[in-house]
Amino acid sequence: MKKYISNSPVQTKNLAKKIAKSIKGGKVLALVGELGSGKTQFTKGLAEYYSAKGGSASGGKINITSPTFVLLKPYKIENKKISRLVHVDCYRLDNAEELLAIGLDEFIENKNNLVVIEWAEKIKELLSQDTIWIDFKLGKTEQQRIIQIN
Amino acid sequence: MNILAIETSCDETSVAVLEVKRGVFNLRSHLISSQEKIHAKYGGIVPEVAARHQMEMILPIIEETIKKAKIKLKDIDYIAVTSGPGLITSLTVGVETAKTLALTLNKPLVPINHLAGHLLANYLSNTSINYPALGLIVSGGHTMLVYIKNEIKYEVVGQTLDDAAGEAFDKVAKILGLGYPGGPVISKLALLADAQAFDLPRPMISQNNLNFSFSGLKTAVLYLFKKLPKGLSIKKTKDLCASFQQAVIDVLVSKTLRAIKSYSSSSADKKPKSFLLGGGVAANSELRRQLQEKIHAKYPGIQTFIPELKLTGDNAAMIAAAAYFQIKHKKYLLGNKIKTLRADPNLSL
Repeated sequence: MKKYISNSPVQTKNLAKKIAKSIKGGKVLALVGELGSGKTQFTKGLAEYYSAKGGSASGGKINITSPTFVLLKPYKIENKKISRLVHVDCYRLDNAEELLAIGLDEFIENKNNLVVIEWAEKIKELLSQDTIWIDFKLGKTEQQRIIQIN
Repeated sequence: MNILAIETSCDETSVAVLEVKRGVFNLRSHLISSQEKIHAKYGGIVPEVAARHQMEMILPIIEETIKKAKIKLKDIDYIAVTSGPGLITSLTVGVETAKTLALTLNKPLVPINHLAGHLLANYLSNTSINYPALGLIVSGGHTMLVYIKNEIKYEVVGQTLDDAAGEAFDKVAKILGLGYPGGPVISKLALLADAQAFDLPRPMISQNNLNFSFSGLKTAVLYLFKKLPKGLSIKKTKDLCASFQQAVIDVLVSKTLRAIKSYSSSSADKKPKSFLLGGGVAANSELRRQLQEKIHAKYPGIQTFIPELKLTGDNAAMIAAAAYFQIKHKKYLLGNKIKTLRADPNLSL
């Protein structure tokens, strides 16, 4: 268990980039934290890391936008370890069934994918033992976030 | 010509029959599952799974729509369907149904981009739109500025870098405990409230580009709400809603004016002649009023088009309208090509 303190969205992105270095495909990152606690910033940081390391398939920068409405957004990446970043958002969900219907399990089983799930506590039962759980909490100041990796 | 259009990109199941005679639009019938009492008639089930719901609804709604249009299936000349963007399972229900219909009826299939549909919804109330035009799509899933060369040629010139405007309304409503969806309840509470009561950020408003960001605004509301004493008075809640709504509107209006300005200074043939609004957030009365007012004040030569309230959300009528122009340009699938159409959740404009 490791605890980090971020004092800005940029620092949250940098932490994601640091973590991205040691991550292989086939992993699931489960992000837990309330609205505005930095989960999407963290995912943007991951995307920035992979854009810099090989770039997206389209050649441009990957722009991560909120997947709340469509539940899941896959992004192609050209990287030795990971070929797809799958951004999932359970915010709107009442149960895990909807994600299975759109093929979450297939995305998770693919060893070339990195799956990042926001509001992952809502679908705990779908996630395996080796899921990396990351908690986001609001800090003492408006900009501060406490990020804990389990 | 009669166009049967199907829209199932997200939660709604909608079917429309549009008749076009010498360029005049006549919406013969139009049903949207979430608004119709059709549920009760066909079992009354509204499952959480949108696609499963749509699978149950799609055939009865098609049947009902055709019946209401007072035509026969054989009178349909074209089948149109939303092929993306949206939720893959939901899209697939509409796309596969449309393919089956087109193949069995031996009619052309017209794939439509959902976003183009939102802009062209304006044709259902006014068919004299001059181009080029600028469009603003604001919904739960999208916030983008579009340069429209003609009815079928679009270029996205700016978009949100994080949350969509409609999503910000939903999330702020959740923070304030107002329920889902957030748009209608916030705009209702904001009526006659003080939009200057709370000082909220206008993200990216002064940046010299056409992109948006609403994630930070949502976080600012969260912090403000936490600082306020618990059990916020009704008046304060209303003022907070109004202040938040005005922050969103200010950004949308300012970026729209910036887009018009940047294209107005280019060559005469590129100057926008019209402005088209579309998407679920276009139902917001303050946004409608302020956009219209401010565009008119600064660019009186530009005509503003705002869709009818009932056509701001996801609907098949707008898909039929968009299909008419694709058909005019001979853009549809025939015969075996129909089988090649796939729903594309990430389809871009």
